[in-house]
Amino acid sequence: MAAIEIVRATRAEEIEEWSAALEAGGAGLLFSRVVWAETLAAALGASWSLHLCRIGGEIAGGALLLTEGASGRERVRRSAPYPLFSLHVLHREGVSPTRRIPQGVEVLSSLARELASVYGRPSCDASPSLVDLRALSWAGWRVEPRVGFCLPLSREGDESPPLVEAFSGEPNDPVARIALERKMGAAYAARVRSGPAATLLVLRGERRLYALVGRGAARALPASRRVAVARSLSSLPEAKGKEEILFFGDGWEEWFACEAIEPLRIVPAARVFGPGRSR
Amino acid sequence: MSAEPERARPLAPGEEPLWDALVEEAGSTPFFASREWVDRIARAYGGSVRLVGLFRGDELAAGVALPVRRRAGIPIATAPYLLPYLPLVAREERPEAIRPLLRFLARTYPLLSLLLPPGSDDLRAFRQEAWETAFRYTLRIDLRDATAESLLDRMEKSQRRRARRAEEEGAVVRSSSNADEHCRLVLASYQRQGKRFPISEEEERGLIRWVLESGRGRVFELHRDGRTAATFLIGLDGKRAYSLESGVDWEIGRGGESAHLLVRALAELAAEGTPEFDFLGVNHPSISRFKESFGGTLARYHAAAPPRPLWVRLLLRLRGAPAGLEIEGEGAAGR
Repeated sequence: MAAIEIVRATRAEEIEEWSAALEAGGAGLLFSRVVWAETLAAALGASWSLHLCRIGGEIAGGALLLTEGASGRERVRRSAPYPLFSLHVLHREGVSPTRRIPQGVEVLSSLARELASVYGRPSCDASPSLVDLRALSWAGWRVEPRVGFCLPLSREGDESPPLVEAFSGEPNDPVARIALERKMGAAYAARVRSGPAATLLVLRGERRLYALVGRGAARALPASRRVAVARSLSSLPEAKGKEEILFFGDGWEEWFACEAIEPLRIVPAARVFGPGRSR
Repeated sequence: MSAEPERARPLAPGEEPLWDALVEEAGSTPFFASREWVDRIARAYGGSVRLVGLFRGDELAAGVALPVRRRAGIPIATAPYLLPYLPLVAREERPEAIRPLLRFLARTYPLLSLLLPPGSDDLRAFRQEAWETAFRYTLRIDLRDATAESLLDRMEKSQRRRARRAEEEGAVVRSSSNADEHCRLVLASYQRQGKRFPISEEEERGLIRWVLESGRGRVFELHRDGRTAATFLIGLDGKRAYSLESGVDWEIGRGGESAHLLVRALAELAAEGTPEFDFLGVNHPSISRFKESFGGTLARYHAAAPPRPLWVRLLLRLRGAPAGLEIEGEGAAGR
């Protein structure tokens, strides 16, 4: 096997190559893309960096991170409560099925070593498409299971009225503000008869929508209403022609708590902590 | 949703058939949820099975069969050797429904861990109850329409070469009912690796005899030059076959025996209609490469443990025990 090489991407061509590799590997979610990392970085006053893992010149994995601190003393900046899928292993065409698993372990081991050497004790989220996280556990990382949610959309669309209304003001949340300025989506408010409204941000992807909610927003609504609100996003005009709505981020774990969520489905995810870091 | 009050409690004597019915209806790995199996394993450690259930009225809605043993007066209910899954079986998938059971378990068993088989992805109830969770992994091989040739075709190249060479050199695979020979090789393998076998030799021998006599599993042996060079114990339920334990005689082995033995055993099981094989863990780097060479599908599952009281954490630290979810050398982490 050709040697594994890890490089820090700095050129526009490399970023394009990353996007193309994600798309080809079936991991092309918005939260894995540089455009999303840029949005988070602008909102949170951080930087971003992309480490590409190559085998024989081809991209086999990568780590997209929010960072802060001067060069040489950089640290990983957590994006929570907003998702950023940092760790990826991409299976290349032509790799035999029996090589695929061990090669994935090697790629992730190399990325883990690189991140630990550059950032000390990084913590970040793994892409939901990255199932095999054993290399991290074996290297002393702590791997914490998390969940996201997926609402499949019907082709015909949903005619029932949404339980949210367009949010007209400027959101307090810096990520929502920047995302709206960049025309990445729209903001909606779930209102209750009295008390505060929960603001939801709905981002448009090519094939899917991404719903975001701030931490603590769940407190504004009773549990059964929260589930109904999430389901009703399927009747937003933005949902027409999309395949699914994804709900990732700490706010959604609070939002859905232990509620029955049919027809939503659970999407297993993971947060990882470098050696010596507990949380 | 039912209006009946939910109550978690141990099953009373005579209520065992409720558990059997629950496992039959909702158990994804019935082999490891059966009370006889859990009891047999627990007894090898000086304990016994405790069935704990969540009742809705008279109906057993969910439950767990725990291998409970006591050490220094403390009830321990972690998954020991040969319990690579310690499942919570539930009729209903609504996560809220199992929370009273999780609370009862956490209160009653300060040192407990569950190993939830693949497919139990909704761990929201565990997180809400502040249980610690971790991923575990196994490999499963689809045996539908599998033959020795198709299994070899799927196999990694160098492993396939070794398996074929073992066959060409005259290695022969056959079913066996010789529990003693199996035990001898398993124990010898542990000894060679410098590891202590987790239960006594006598317990192991009795356990394997019981597995074979009760039809819960089969031993496959590989013979070379008239001697047993390798052995595999495979557990069986209606859903799949499970790799329980294996042993190799390193004085006879020349390489490829285990791969050849497993290919032949799986081909035989496939011909008998077993739909799937589970390696029961690829959680340890030293043994996962061998299993991965068979080209199965990686399946993720979960270990889960309730928040441990301070005194339990201090006790574990005093004894030098690792603070992980499972006790070292047991459960799934070492498989």
